[in-house]
Amino acid sequence: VNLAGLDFHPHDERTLVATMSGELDFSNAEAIRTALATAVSNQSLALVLDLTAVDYLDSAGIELLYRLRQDLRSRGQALHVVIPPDSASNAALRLAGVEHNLDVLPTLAAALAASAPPGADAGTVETG
Amino acid sequence: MELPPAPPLGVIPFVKRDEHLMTLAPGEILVLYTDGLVERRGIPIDESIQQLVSILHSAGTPEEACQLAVDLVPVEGLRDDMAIVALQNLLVPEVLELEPLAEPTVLADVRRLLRRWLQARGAADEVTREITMAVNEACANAIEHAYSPAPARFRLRATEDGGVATIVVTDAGHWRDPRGTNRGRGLTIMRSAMDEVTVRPTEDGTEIAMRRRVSR
Repeated sequence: VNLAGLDFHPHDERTLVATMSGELDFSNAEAIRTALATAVSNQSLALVLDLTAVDYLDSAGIELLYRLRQDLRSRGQALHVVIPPDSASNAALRLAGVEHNLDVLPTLAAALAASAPPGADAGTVETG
Repeated sequence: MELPPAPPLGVIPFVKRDEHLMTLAPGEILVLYTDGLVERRGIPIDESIQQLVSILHSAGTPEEACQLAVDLVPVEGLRDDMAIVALQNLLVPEVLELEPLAEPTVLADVRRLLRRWLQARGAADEVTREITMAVNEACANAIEHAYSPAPARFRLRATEDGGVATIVVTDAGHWRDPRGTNRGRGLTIMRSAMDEVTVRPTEDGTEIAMRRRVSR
């Protein structure tokens, strides 16, 4: 039984965006971690994991975020997690006492900005 | 609720369909069936639908509704295949007692039943959310502890007295110290979401009792 939905779309050649919905718990966390780690190609520099639409996150889901960050870091890749302050996921982080420890970003835009490598132009600049 | 008939499913692709919203009162049963059940040789379809409706009135449970419908099938069988789905809006019990299998896939159902029970006790959304998270962690603990070769079960009992909810989760596995940061976080979630958490060994396992004010 998969409670969660997972969609991938490349933002650019360096950054993959994964959007999750549904419920993330002890029953599916491990399968989701594998799916995420496998989806990130060697060419990618960063994975942006958007949990805005997730309506349940438990301690196994939080563990997934830590372990995925470690997995990716060991491959020289970064993980940027999007969790809005008023979301169910953030309530879980708060109760687990890791709200300020896990380094999450409030919006997808903020995560995409964070995933842009230093020195790169800051997205598309509208010029007159 | 009387509705105009719509074209059969799967006959015309991409046809736009009307949506209908209805409220099932607690205890009411909704029965869905395919036309195989009511298409009979020599009997007008309106008549067999009427017969079905009057028989279903005596059904008290979804299982009974399905059985009553199946009993209508004539001995010579049906011309078409049939499917029946019956669902009931269950009354929320005063005391919630569950004995789920100790498998991770039960967690989502436990959360749904608990949320409904908490809402019926008058718990605010935020309180419901936090208690649900705490109880989910206690259940995940019970599931991790159940390592018997036979299919094991754990117990959950939720009661409310004077606006305070008490939820007790009991398993048949012996308490081990939280392994790794994951279970440690589970305990942190329980303690920060609830007013009181006690973990104690029982004769054949571990009991986690949690309390929190839900109303007044």
